[in-house]
Amino acid sequence: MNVDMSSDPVAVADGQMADQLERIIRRVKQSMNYRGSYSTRDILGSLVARWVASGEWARLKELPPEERRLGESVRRFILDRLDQLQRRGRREPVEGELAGLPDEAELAEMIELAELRGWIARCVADLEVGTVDPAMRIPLSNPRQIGRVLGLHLDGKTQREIATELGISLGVVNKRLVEGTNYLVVLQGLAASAR
Amino acid sequence: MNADDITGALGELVDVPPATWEARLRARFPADPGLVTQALMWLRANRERVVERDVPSLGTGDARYELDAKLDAGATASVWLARDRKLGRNVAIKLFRLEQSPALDQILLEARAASEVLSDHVVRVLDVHDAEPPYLVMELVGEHAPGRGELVPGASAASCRPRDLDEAVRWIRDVARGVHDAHLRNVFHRDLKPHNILVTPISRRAKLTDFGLAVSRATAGTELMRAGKAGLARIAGTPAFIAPEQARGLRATLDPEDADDRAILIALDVWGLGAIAFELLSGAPPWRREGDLEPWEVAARATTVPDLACTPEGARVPRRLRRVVERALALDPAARYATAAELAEELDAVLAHRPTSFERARGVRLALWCRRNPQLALTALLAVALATLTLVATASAREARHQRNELATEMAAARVANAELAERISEGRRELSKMETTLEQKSQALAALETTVTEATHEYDAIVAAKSQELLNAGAATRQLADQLTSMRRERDSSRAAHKLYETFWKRGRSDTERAIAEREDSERERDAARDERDRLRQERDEALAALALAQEERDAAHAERDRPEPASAPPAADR
Repeated sequence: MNVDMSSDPVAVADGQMADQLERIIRRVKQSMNYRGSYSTRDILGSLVARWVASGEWARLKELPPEERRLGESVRRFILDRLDQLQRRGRREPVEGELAGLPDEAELAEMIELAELRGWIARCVADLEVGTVDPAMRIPLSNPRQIGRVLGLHLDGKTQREIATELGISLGVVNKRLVEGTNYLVVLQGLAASAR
Repeated sequence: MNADDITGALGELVDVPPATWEARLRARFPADPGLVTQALMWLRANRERVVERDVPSLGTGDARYELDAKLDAGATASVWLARDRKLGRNVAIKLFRLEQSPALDQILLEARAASEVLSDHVVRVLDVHDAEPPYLVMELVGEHAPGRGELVPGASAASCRPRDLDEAVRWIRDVARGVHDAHLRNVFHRDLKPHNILVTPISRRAKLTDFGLAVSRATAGTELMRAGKAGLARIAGTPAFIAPEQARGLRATLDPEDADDRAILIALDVWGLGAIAFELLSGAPPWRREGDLEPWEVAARATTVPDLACTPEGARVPRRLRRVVERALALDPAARYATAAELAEELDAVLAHRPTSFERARGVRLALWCRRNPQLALTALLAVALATLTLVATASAREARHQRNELATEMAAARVANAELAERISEGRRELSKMETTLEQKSQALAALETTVTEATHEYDAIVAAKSQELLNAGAATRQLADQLTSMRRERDSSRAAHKLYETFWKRGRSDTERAIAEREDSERERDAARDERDRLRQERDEALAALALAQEERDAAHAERDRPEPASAPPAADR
């Protein structure tokens, strides 16, 4: 992931570190709280995530950058997917529908976000079985419960529903969500500093 | 250090100024810079607002607006409580993030769209700053607390839940009225969701805000609808609240002044109002992830209206309200309410216990009227009950009178019948005494008769005994005769058997004789035949002997002929 982070966050100025960290925090939280955003970008983001999951990105990454034709591949995938969905209902006459597909730079950013979502899903799955990243020094109070709460949150459940399903209070759900998000932010920060 | 040390340190630092975090952490964990780094990241993530460190500046010191406190933060903008120095009032400022903000002209169009709408139920936009930093100045949704008089800002309906069902319905009705007011000005919101409803903290009134995706005359004919940063704008909205047809994609250029396009846009907003109602009433958005499908994909594939009963809260929603929400959420846009005002009217009817468009039955209408006018209904009910009681009492009295007269008539008739009956009884008694006398006489006669009968019975018994004895004797004689008859029969049967045996023997002897006669006759015939044969054989023998003699004579003659000398005259005769 191309997160712009210096190699040693301790050494950089506090303001600069805060700016970099803010970006990571916002990205992680945006990926965690997918429901609240406007759909245009998110819908495209989810389609890009599907494209990444289809293995096409893994294949293209093996090629030299000039041969990847990223935009073409993603566009074809997105338009196919939209076309499939449109066939399910009454279709409005759509003119110039291809006009606004994102450019290469924006696609790259979307792919980065899609990878972040995939990474978050893997981390949450690890937490659900009680596996905490060994690089993490800050102790987590209840990794399995944190993983479970995050998993349900990513599935679109409300905090009230999560509390009911897990038989815990709303306050504990909120605490676990915050703790889990912080954990992901710290791991992202560590990964960025390692680069 | 152990886990408790680290957790304790983080817990202490949460409440101290962020600027001191690093120093405090380094002092506490001097030999572990890696842990300090992680703890700093953790603390900053924990307090996202702190990451912004300072309140952003809106310009130089003489700028008109001064930001005070952050009220909310989204992906593209944050909302601040601000002070308008010029007018000395509090306002809300939506400050767009520099890196995430939409194009400046789009911010301007959002401001124009919101400004077009004049409604008590829509947050007014007061000003716009379309240069960097871009921001919108809006009416502050807030109230002064009645006690200390301090300003309390409102919150979104997504964060402050309605206190009860009526409050939720009131919010949706008010927002529907605001949406209709916007539609009257050809402004279509297209992103209705609880997050875009602000609720005043004291009076709990709801107002619509955020026209970022709105379509209006200002946006018509422009490329804005597909000029979003992500590009493809024909699918727009919030995934969990998006209308199905919107999720499947709409035409990129919808003209808010064209009748057909208006119908499409109104249907989208009616759906949005239904989606808000769904979320406020059930606690969950209409569309949620299903397996690997995102909410907007679930919306695009939907074949049934989202089920309010998906949560326990939703299952408790009364049926009449549920039907209203379900109609607003109809998958077919044409089946939804034609306008947001129509939906507001329906919700008003639900609140006021008036009949909705679904409730045509007189019984339901009457029940709702009673609910609406409980005192009047109670008075009417009492009056009806009183009238009914009076009518029932009058009818009962009339019935009682009638029954009394009937009883008097029946009593007089009964008296006459009683007298007649008494007469009949005395007559009956007289007859009875007569009958008793007769009966006495008959009893005496019967007693005499019984004595006679007893005597006759004795005689009869004696006769029967004598006859029985005779009968026994006769029986013995009969048995003896029968025995004799039996022995005679037995003898007869043996004679018959002997006769039959004799007959059999006789028949057999006769047949043997006849057979012997026949055999003898056969023998005689055979003997005659043998004799005939013998005679015939003798005759043949004789003939053969004669022939033999003739042959011998001829032979002799031949011998004699042979033996006669040749020259001699006649040959000598042959010997016989």
